[in-house]
Amino acid sequence: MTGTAEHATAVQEDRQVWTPRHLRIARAAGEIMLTCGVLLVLFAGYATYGKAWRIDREQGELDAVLDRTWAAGDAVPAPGRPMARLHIPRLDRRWAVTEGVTQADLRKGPGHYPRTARPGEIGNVGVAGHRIASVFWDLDRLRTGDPIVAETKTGWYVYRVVGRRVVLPTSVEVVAPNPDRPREPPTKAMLTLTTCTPKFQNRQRLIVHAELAETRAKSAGRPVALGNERA
Amino acid sequence: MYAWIWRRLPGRLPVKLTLAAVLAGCVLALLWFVIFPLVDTLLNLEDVTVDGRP
Repeated sequence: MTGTAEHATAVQEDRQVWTPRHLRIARAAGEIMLTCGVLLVLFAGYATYGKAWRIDREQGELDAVLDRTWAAGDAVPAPGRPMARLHIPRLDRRWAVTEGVTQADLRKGPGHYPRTARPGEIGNVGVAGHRIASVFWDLDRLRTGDPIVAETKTGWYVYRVVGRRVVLPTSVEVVAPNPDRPREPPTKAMLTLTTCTPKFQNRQRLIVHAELAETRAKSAGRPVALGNERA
Repeated sequence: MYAWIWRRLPGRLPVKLTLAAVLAGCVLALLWFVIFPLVDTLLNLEDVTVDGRP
């Protein structure tokens, strides 16, 4: 039996029901565990939907910034500013691509590896993006021959997927000017997308290589490869 | 802990329920807009670049 003094203290602490101490401890532990569980589920929800939603909002702003930059005639993008638009008709998606691949850059959508080629140039246009719903989630659905269209102030550059592979995060050669022969100078105009794989994990990188198939002046209108994507 | 908070909420049941909902909303907003983005940056679980760092 519990002593009277202890009983009185417990009554003061909890006027509604008196519970033995071991039950109170068990209840507190249960509450803490439940709280941790709910927090984890919420964080998973944030990582899946919250980040995607933030990127969607950022993209809306970047799109407007890109239009203004092009209208102002400013062709050289600064780090952290949008540098081009990327369309993938197969995934029914398009993004404003930010110059740079820091964490801050990639929170706005896909990012262009600095010091890699610009759309249309001989070399390799490197673009990284998160493996989340509003960015490169479905990159594994791309098939050989699918168009990836880069849009700049002056032109449309239609690249066609030539290959897909999974590499380690250390394989910097995939964004080298000549990804097939990293030590040799580039001969073709390539575009390479990188994202993480497997989904939600960080162990490897999913790489999609594409090769320039068609160049079209902005004044010549939208390329057929875009299909019926809304302007 | 939750029982402790519940007992300290003033008013009758409808008032208590409303206050509890507001409190839960504040905590959720704090998590969603401040704490989760911070944790996400610190963890950097979704590094997507090839940069030579393992």
